[in-house]
Amino acid sequence: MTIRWVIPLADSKVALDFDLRSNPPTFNAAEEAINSDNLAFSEPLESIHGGKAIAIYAPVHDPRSERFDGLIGSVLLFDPLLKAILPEGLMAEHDIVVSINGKQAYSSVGDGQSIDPDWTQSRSFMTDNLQWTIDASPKPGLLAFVHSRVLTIIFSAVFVLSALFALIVYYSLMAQKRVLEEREASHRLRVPFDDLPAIAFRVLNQPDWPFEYISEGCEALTGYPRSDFEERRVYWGNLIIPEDRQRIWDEVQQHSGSGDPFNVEYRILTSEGEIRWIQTWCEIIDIVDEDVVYIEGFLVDITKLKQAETLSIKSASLSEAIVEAAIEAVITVNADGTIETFNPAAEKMFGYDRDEIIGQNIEILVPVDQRKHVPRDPREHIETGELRRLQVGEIGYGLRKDGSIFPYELSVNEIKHPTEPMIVFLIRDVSGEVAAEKEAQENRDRLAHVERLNTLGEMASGIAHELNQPLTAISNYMATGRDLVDDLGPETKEILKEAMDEASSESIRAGDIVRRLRQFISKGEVNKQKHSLEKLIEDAATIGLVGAREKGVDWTINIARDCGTVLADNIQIQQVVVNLMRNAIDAMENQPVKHLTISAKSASKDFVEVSIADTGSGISDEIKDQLFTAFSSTKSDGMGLGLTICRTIIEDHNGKITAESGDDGGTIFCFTLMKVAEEISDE
Amino acid sequence: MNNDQLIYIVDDDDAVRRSVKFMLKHTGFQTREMASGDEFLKNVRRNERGCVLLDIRMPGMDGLEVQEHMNKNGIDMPIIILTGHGDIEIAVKAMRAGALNFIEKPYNKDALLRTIDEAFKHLKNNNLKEIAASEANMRLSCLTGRERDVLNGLLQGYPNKSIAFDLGISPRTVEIYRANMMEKLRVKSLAEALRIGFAAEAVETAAE
Repeated sequence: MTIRWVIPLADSKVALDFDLRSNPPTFNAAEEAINSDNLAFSEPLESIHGGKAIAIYAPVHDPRSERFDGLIGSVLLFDPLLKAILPEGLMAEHDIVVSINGKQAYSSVGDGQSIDPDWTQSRSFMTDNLQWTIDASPKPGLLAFVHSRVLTIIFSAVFVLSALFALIVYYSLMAQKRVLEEREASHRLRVPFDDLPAIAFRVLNQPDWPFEYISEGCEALTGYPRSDFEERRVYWGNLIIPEDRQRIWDEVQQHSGSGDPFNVEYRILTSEGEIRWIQTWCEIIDIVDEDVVYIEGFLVDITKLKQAETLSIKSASLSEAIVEAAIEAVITVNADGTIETFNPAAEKMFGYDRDEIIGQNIEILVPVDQRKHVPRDPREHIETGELRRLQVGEIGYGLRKDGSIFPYELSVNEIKHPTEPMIVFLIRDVSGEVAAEKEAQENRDRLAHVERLNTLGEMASGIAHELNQPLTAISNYMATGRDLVDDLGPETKEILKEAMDEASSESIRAGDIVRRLRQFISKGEVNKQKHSLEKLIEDAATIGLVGAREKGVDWTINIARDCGTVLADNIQIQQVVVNLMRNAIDAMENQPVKHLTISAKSASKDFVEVSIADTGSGISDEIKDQLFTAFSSTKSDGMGLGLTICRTIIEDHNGKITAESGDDGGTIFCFTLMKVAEEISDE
Repeated sequence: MNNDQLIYIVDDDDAVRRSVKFMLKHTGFQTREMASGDEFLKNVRRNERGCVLLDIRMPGMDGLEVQEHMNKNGIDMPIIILTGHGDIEIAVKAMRAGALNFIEKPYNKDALLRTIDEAFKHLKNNNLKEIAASEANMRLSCLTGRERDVLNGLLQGYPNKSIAFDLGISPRTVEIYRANMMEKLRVKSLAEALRIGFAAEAVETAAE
């Protein structure tokens, strides 16, 4: 352990290479300073210069690593201090003993000797965990001389003296401490100076660039100490990487004689083999008298700058490459809505060349009827949150150059800049997806249609029967009428009229059934319109209840008045109702009570609920879960598609379909449909 | 004409019931209409004998069950079964259970009247109820093996297609055998052919 710095007192000459181990009290104090990481005082010690002293140590840290770096030490010599401060007359007539923590640090009477306790005045104070005690008493000679007459005066003088001494010690200690602290702070400052990016130099104008002078920073930069350069053990020219050497020489020579400052950039290899970018600001100094040419200036390590530059070039070209290669259209627009960039995907998507579109307003890409939604100044969008609203993957429509319109998904990003804000539109053409969704919808509709045909197929005999009834009636009336024609009298005329009326109403009945059947199996476009729920259910019941009466099923249809109008494709909804009714009828086949209840009521502000309840055997929980799954029929002849299609249809209508067990056995199927306000339906 | 002849119309379909009543009333029959088998069985009087037009498909008790009840309770009235298209199998069952005839809806007025007429003849002359087994057997003896096969199929209530399948011949061929069979039996309707067949069967069953 050595002392890094020593603050010498005015006339003390403390050696720098003072070995602490030669003096245990200083060594202990130094250790204490290290361990406590704080200022420490030594016990009183014998100074190598003679006389009593104490040593003070302050720890110093490396400013970068914060690691302990060394100590700053100082020695407080009592003799010169006291002599400098106290009047010599007083010193000559008094004995003074200074103790620290009970140990004698100084005594004017010599070691081990105590002063006359009867006359001693004592003063104590604490500083930095040290208990200082100053004892002062008149010397025996003085006492003998003054006797009692001036005892009081002397006593008072000793009192003053001890107090004065205590104050002096205290203040000089504090001053010492402050100096040390400041010293440490300046040490902390000194280190960064060495790391300053600028390194001053003076170099001879020779290809191997021998330095005449180079400042301290060179070691941190190159790994070689300045002495290596200045003593020509290392040449700067050899550090410059070979590719740059000739160029630097040429550049410097170009400035020869001009006297203007210039700068050059090049790379050097450090002692560790790392490459550093150096920028040199310099000026050629031609000292004619000496016939030498120097270059003077300073070097700066710009490696980090270069790296950042490379990185930003890389990242800029990377993002450019991404934008260029993107599948999505990337369009940037300035605050006025003027298109600033337009990537190849955008060219392909909208059919414009970037040269013709850049500079146009973004509006040109929006279908005419939707332009009002796009303010001329996109900032308004940002401020009103309009753009944010658009960001949520909403489908918008774009206008191509050829006038066609396509659906897209948009995301909008704002590049914040105080004066030139920019908006980036990322546009994805979703026409393929929209078409796929349309196709899937068509497939679902086709399946639903097939299922309707299938339903009717299964119901064929029931339907035939249903049609036979009115046909039989018609035939009866017509045949009777025909036979009455031969015998026309007033009475027979009336009978005939009756027959005609009856036949006509029966044929309407038959026609009605046929109409509903045709409608039911029609393949027509799915077309959601406003329909009276009541009529919808009645129409469906005509088909769904075919054959029900013969099977001994009776039913109740109960439609609440507040159901009103629903938004639905009537055929598909009828299909659902028919399907559920037929399932219910089948489920009740072996039941003693066969009652079907069809009811509809308003379920909420926006939905009506239709329920179809049977008195069948109910559904078990395990079936319930897979009820709406395809191909899981419980019927021997069922495909298991019916309920799946029902669910698809209801979900297409934004409704829900559920199955529950009824309170007294049986099953209740419920589905919801969206209500439409009546007044709108009148528009 | 036959002012005293009574016809029970048992059909759940209001329109059919009213139209049949209309037709028969203006043709000169007395009619009583019932909307279900129960109603019929409740109201029918043994001494008010008539012909019964009985619908097969009805809620509650269907035509066959009504027939069964009548047989059980000794209500001996000729029954004409009214069926829809494609209900031949049920009609055959009804015939086997003793129905006099069946007729498919919608029907020709004359065909219905002929059947009704036959029924009343039957009612008048109770002995005419069954064709003599001996006569039935005699008539059947004229049939070829295939014609007999076709008749047997029909007696089971099978449609032509099933019979064709069972015999390994085409439905068209079945139709030809069926026409030949009816000609040889000297009958005009399938119902008549069935009746002869059932009479012969009864003999066979008794013989066993």
